[in-house]
Amino acid sequence: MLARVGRSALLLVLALAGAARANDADELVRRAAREGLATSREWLVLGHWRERSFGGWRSEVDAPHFFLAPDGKDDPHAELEATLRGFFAPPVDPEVAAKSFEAQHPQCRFPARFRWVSERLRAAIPAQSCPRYAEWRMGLRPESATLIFAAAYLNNPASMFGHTLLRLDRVGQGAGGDLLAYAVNFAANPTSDNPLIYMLAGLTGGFEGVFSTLPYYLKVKEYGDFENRDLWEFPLTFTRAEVDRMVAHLWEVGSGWLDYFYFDENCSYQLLALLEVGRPSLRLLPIDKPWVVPADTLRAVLDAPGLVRAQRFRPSRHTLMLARRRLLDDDEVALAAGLARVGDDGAYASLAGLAPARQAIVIDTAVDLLRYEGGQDAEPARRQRERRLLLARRGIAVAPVALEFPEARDPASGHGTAMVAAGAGADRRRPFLEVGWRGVLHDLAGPQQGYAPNTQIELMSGTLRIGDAGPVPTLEQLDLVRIASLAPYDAWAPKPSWRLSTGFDRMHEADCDCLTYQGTGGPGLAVEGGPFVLYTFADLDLRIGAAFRDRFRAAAGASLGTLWQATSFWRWSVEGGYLYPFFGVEPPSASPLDDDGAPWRAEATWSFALSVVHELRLPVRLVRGHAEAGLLLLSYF
Amino acid sequence: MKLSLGIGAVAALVLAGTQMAGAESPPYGMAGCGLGSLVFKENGFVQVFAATTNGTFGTQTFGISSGTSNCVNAGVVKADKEQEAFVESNLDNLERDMAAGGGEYLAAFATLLGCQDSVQPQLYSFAQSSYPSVFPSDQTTAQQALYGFKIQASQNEIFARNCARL
Repeated sequence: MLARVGRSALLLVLALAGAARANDADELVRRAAREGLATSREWLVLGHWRERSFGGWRSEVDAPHFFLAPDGKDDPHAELEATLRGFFAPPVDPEVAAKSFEAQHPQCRFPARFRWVSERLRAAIPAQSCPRYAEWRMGLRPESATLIFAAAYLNNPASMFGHTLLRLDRVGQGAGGDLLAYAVNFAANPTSDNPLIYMLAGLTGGFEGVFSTLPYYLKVKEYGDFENRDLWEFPLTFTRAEVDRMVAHLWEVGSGWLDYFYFDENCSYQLLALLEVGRPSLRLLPIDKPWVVPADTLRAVLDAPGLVRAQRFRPSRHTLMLARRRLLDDDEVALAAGLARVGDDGAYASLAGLAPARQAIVIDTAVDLLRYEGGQDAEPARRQRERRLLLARRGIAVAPVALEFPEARDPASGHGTAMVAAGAGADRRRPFLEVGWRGVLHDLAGPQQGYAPNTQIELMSGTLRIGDAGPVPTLEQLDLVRIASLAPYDAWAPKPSWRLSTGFDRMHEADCDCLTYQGTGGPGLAVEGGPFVLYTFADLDLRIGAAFRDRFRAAAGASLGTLWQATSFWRWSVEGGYLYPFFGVEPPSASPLDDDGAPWRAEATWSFALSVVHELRLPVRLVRGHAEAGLLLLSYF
Repeated sequence: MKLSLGIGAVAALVLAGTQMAGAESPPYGMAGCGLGSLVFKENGFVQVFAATTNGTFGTQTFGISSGTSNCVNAGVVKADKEQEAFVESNLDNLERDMAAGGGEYLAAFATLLGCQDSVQPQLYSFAQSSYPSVFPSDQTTAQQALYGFKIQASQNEIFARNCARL
């Protein structure tokens, strides 16, 4: 009997508690609606909702479990209501909660939402304990944040777009502490190793993008040691509270995924979204371009008033090696190379002849070279040479010299990532007006500051011309891709030079102004001396076009050229080449396309940087008797 | 007598460390955390495409949505594995800093050992002088170096007192 009363009482209490919960939740939902919270900036950034072009909302998060309401992806109101009600849900059994992310209590899945509604509605929602989240946060202990930008790496123009990550720092983390902080990285989770699928899926959103938090030392190793990419670090002015909010949100979104699009919803884009959660008054998104280049997001961050408080440079292994080598004289350079590559007694005898401080720097440089050349390969003989060097180094109580990198320019200091141009010119027959544009990014003729030296990547760049034929513009050129990587020869870091391009190109030969589709490319060699880079390429040139016999032409040849950085603001590029058609047209002497002589080509471009935005360019071109010259004003943005 | 005991202890610990690591190895097929075995893609043609997904190194191990492994929990290294994870991942740079008696990696290592700032300079020169015994061969593993260093440093009274996690 007593037991029955007791049970009834318990049931009554539970029922009352449930009713109270429902009442409290109803009340909060009403207040939230009254105050218009569902469309407040803070709520919209928490759910990554963006206004759609034809009204309504859509979240960029693709994981269904990021939403508590079935239609939460498209409805911030429904999601807010479901969230408020969810926060009142009864406690979840810890064993169940430990099983999966979604099994946790809504308060534990959405700590940033929870804190925000609690504060905003001054609501006393019974708080649940969230051991998984608490443990994760304890591991990170974030107090401030730094934006990290990975610059291009050698010989890989595709990497020129850069990569950004965020580092969560601890106050007074001290010497070496940066390495121990955590980096927040957003990257695609590739499910294929096939290069083609990899690329296509990476470009089109076929992979899921996920957040990870890695010790920064792993990212430094990846970028700095293995990929030889310099890192730029930009500490932000985020307060402790802002970092807290951002990290709480990272937990919410980190368990889900966002479809990864290389061109827009990529690493950089999602990091900006995170920063907006931390400080909702920031308006970093959207980036008003069809694609999001990490360098543009860096500019957005640098341009936001009072967001960045400093700038630091972390040289890659390659940059470090070359900087240290510059401190050596010629004999010491030879000695360091000998120690790294041979390591015989003779080399050590020469080393012993130097003063201790010089010995230290020669050994440090030799270890640089040994590691740079070795990469990840721990070949036994190399390990032995390295050990002998380190044992010698151990006997010298001189700390490694502090290196300086005065020539390093941050990646936001260069020209904008897109460009438009307008100008006029004339060829042998007529004058013309020209407009041009470039989707992204950078070429060899223009200003080089802020970009990897001697490296070109252009996507979707083209020119239109209006001639005396009438007001209808004709397509002169449309490059889908144009890539060049000149790697001036360095005995310590030899790299191949190469170039590739494909796109539409109008040929002006004889009386033919023929539009062709071309694919060209080839390997090359380059050397650098002072302000000059001299290069040569072997060229293969394949073209489809109506003017050719069989509508196809294959040609092979060679080019020789030079780039001359005359002053910081003007620059020459000059190139000549010979291209012999071996398939698809008659041999040059008999070719209808060859009334004007052998298949020689020469071009030169003079470039004058008026400012970081504007450039004046004077191109001159001679191709098999066709001559043209122009004057263009370029604007970068 | 004391010395031989010390050496015996080092040997036993190093051995224990190796065995323990062996028992822990399944998730990675390697000693300790296995972070040292995360291999980066070689530079080359694949790298051109790798840029389209922006570096996938460690993404799975450190995904926030990833579960718990022996060393990492939801993307964060477990507190009791921080030293191992660091030494495994940075053995080459740490070795170099020890031989030179200074550098960022040695400083980070000292931080992980809980050493107060005041003893760090002493720790650096200690690291330099003990380099040959911490790295007795060119095959020294991360576990051997870590425990070798900790045992030798903890015999020094100053470090024993001022490095909380030695």
